[in-house]
Amino acid sequence: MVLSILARGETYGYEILRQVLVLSGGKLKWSEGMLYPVLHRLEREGLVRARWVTADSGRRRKYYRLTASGKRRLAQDRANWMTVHQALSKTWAIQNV
Amino acid sequence: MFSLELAVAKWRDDLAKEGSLSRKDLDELEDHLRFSYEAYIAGGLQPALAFESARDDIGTPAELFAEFSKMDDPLWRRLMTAGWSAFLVSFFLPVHKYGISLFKTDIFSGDVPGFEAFVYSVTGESGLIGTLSALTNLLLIGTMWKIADYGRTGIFTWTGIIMAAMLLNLWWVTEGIADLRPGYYLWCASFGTVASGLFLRARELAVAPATVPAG
Repeated sequence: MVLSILARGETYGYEILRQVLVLSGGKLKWSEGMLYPVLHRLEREGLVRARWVTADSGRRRKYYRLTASGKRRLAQDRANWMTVHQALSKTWAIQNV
Repeated sequence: MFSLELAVAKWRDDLAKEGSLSRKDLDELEDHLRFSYEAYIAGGLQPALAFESARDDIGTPAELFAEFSKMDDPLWRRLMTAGWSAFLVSFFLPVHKYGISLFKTDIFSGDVPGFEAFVYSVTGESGLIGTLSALTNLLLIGTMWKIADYGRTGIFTWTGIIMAAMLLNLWWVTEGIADLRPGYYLWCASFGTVASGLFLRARELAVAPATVPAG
């Protein structure tokens, strides 16, 4: 999900959490303590790249964006997810008959 | 009178005391805290209450510590890896000026490498202290065997054992510091480094809650 949000463009932690909340219709509320270690792991794995930006107010903010290998991983994860989704949909359709 | 800057500074201090978060981690979390604070202010909360709400959303220092430890490479693990690496390297560096080269490997122009000193000591040729000192190597190797998965008490006990081993190994300094070589100091330092890693791991187990609410 983090990779999907970053596929929309460069952004930062607070905005990612906000988007998760909005996209899930308020049903998913991730904790901050959970998000940042995940972002750092993705950065270590080379799936995202981060850069610090200093705002006019002097506040430093860390922005994340997808790398080429991040985009490839996202495409792969999306294909896997769709396979599982289709399989489950068929299973549930059979159960409802 | 509530001061946001003072409150943020105290919050950062509390997090820093946990010891596992880097300055950049703290910068990132602080930026998040300020965003959250501004959102609560925009929602009509009083500053002090807005700060408390934003702080509670991020989580307690122990909760953050536990979450970051799960994903990040924690300091204790890096210390133990560094200690083990230094330990292994020390066996191939000169440790002493004089000795009997059992393997006739005069690679350091007369200085004895660590692995030869170990064999020499373990055979009892350098007396009881030498034998005990050589056996401490087995203790350090023992820490490589999933010891970090032991309970808090077990890891604290191992911390003490490895520290005691290091003190015993420092005894060789009294025998003549001029005869010791860099490999010896690296070897001793490896015990201290592994003990530090174990201590931090035990401390982590002492402060981290068993389960952390994700929502």
